[in-house]
Amino acid sequence: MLTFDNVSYCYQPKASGLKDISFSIEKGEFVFITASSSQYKTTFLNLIYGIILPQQGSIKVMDIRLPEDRKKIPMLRRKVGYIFSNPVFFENLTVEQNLKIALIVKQNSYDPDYTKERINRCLSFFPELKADSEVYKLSATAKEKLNILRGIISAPHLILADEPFKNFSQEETIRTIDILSEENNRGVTIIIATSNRYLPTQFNKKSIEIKGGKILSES
Amino acid sequence: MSLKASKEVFNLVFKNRFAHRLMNVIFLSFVFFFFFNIATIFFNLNRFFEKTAQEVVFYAFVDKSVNDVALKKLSKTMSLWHETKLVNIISEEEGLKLLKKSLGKDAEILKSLEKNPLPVTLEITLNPNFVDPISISSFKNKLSKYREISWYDSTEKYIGPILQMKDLFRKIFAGSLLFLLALIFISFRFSFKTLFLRFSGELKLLKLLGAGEYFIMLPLIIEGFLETLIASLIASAGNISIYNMLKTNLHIFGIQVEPLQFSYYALISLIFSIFSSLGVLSIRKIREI
Repeated sequence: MLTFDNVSYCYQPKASGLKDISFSIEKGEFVFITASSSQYKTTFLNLIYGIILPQQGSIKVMDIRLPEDRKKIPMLRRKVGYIFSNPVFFENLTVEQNLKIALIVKQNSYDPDYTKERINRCLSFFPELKADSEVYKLSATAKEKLNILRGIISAPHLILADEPFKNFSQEETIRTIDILSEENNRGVTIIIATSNRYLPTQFNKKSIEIKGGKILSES
Repeated sequence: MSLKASKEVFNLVFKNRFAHRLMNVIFLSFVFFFFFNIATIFFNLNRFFEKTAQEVVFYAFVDKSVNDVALKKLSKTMSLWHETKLVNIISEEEGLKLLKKSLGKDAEILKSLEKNPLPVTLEITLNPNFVDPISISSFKNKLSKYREISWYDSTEKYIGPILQMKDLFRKIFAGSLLFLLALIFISFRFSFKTLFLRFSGELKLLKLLGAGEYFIMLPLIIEGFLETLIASLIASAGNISIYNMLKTNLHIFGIQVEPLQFSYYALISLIFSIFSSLGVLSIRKIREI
């Protein structure tokens, strides 16, 4: 599903960054990437999603190899759901419209019945999120929930989540893990980047710990 | 890629674009109306020049000694020539005017004469197929063989300048057309570039979600095409109405004007629409977002 082969990425020459990273994640795995803040968790996920390209080495995501297949990045993004750390939305549109856009773009097709059904299903995960609420009126927590729903709406092959619980209570965190676990049970590969190093143990999941731009441990 | 999907997203993200579109249609209608008017003026001028250049008239001033019977016989002979379209016998007074015009400064000599030295003048209009220099030269030879004709003149000398003017106007029109096409191309490019910059946040997000370049650009290309087509149809309708009105009003004064042919309007509208689409396609800004 995902292979990092001697991947390096630095924001400035000779600056610190991800260095010579190699590992692989199999299809259907649920993995936590743990690191303290400013330890390149977002860089790691951005490399997988093709927002940035490796300066050395290569990444294979499903059947797409980066940086070689850079023209296939839109296709890669349609197969991957990304729960961003600092999400951006169409602020003047409603929750439903934001989910609809994400689904149509990811599916690259539009079926009104399926779209409606899928949006209703996703909204049932967070009933407190109203379909007709305009995004700019939502609280940070509500936006976080919308961010999660947008990441899973298209039933992707791989879900990347960057600090998805930062504004959540313990109960909301557990609910989110349950939602992602449900997706994982359907065969979706889940990668969550978090600074909470206790979560993998708490939920009994695989973890990769990054420190100083290198993999410190895998368990 | 599904156009339906792209259009659905486009309608959600750019839902407030119709006022902008309407303004564009109004602006383009004015630009195209201006262009069609210029095109119609050039078209009518061209038609006038062509018609004039094909109409060579010879004025044969007949000797005073020629009697009526001989004159009629001469006129009939000339009308049978294959180069001749029409032969008219014109009055002495009119013939004198033409002779004065033909002699130019030398016409002063006519003042010393007590009366009109000419009996009649033959006005010979040539067939448009025989207005080339060789045919005219051969026609002149034919005329000079008749002792009854003391002098002749023709409108042939005006053809050169007329053809030059026609050529000049054609070049001006071609230049105007190229200029306008460039203007349309640039204005569309600018208009869409502004649109892209205004909505750069939304476009970035669409790309981040996985939208490809053509997913974003296809509705813009189609709308740009339709926008230009609608504007050029409005301009065409306005131009046709005005020229039909002018046709009726100017006809009274003997001036003939015509609107362009429908196929020209269709072709020009299509070219404008394609150029506007190309204007969208040429924007590389979308790749940088």
